[in-house]
Amino acid sequence: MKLGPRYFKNNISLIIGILMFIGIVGASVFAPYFALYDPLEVKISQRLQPMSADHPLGTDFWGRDIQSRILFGGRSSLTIGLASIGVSMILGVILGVVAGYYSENKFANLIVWITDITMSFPTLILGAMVGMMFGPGIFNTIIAIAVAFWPRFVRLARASALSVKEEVFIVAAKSLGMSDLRIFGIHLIPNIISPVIVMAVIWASDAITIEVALSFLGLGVPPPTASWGTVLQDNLRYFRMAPMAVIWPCVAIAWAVQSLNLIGDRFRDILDPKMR
Amino acid sequence: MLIVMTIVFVLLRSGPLDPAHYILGDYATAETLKNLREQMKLDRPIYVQYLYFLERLFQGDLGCSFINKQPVLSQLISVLPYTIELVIAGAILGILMGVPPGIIAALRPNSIFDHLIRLLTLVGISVPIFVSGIFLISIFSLKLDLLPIIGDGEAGNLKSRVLMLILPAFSCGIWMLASIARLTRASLLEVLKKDYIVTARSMGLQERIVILKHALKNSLLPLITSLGIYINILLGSAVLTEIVFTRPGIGRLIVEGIISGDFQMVQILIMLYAGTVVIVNLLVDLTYSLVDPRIVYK
Repeated sequence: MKLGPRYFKNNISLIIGILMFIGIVGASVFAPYFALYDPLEVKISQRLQPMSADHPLGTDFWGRDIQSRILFGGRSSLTIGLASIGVSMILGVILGVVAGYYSENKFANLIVWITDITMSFPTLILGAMVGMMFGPGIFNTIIAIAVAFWPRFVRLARASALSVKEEVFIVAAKSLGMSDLRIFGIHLIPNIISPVIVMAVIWASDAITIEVALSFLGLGVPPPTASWGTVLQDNLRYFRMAPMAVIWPCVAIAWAVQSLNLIGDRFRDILDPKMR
Repeated sequence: MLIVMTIVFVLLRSGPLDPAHYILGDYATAETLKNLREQMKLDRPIYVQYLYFLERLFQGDLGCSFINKQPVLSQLISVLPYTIELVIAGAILGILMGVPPGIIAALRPNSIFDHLIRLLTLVGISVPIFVSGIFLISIFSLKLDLLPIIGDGEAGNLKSRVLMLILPAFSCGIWMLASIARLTRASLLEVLKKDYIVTARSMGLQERIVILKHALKNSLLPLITSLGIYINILLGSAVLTEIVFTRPGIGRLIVEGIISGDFQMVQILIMLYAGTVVIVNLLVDLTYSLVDPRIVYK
């Protein structure tokens, strides 16, 4: 089923989700305009300040402004989360379609086998393991999270491709002498892409969570760069002295994750009328 | 399993991490580094290391941690009960508190209860562990001062141990709770449309019996199917829960191992994770035939 503008009518939670998402992405993209301070600027004299007019959300142990750090942290957290989902979606769809279309092939079996193995680890552990191999850094974290997520896409794309490939129009295209590549591009992928995109939206929220977790553990974005995970980690130690400094990044994370889930959840309902 | 183990082994050892470097710190000289590597047999070719590892493993020796030189097995056994109790408590919580809201929502679809439950469960699914954990701590421990914040309870004191478990189990199980509620709702709605429910109702059975005996039993199958996935995700959430609540446990052990480049530890723990998931999936497969007698294994 196609996703169209008519679904936006009477669908308040979808609209709320999209507005929330635009809000948080906008706040991160235009972080330099909203932030009052440099997120890396250390002012020991003003450390662990409560919320005030000068520092709307207070300051952390090093006197860095928390509002600025959350805004700039959104840049790295959202970029990493969304980019890694994009990478793993492209990789997973290609491999999944190949594995589903040539289902009797040895190579296809190998893909399925590797997918099954990778799926048996908790995503966070997998991300942490790959993150450990590549070391910290924004680009490496994207790769680590993409590695942790691609098997899900392979499984999804393969299952859809397996059912679509038996359809009459694929057989017709094949008998017309269309090359496999063109069949993939014109018929197969467009027909399986909507569930993939819906799940990508939902999994993007997972990816953001994983990014925060990795940075929180010190395996993702290296400090002092701001990311929601590093902001959390910095402030969790001083939780008793300044609890709000921990609560605010949590709010930002929950906001981003919730917005993506609202969007994804509604899209899934639209695609799967049984769930309504 | 053996193949998984080999892959993990090769991947870990071919990474840029160096436990010798971690132990000695940044200011170690090249010579001391070299000596320590020789001592730890890290300078041998990778297949020699692997054969050595295998030989020890088949003798039942899990080896010693690279970092603190303690046997991996004893460290494992000392923290394993904490993770097991956390995961089981989370799972019980998820099932016991997830199914009833699902039933309520399915019985009155599109009512105000249904919308409320759907909204709350969506929040429950979305909120990451550390966020829910931190909120739980700040509400129940800091504001209300009801429950202890962190740690694992006094040894031998059952009451303090249970009290310590409540908050972590909640934050660990909240995702499972919410997603079980959604799953129960969806599958019960599906079952309620079936002909045999109409038949049962037309026989004049009480609504309670129709729902509990006929509908619920049939709608539990997808729930059991996904139990394997739930356990896998619970194991993953247990890692973060243990860190936020500073509980001892497998997750904590593996994260510390990963950060410090403790290959031996990480290797064994990863095998443990994979093994658990395989066993859980097997058990789930076996319980299908109990729940649904139509499924027969040949």
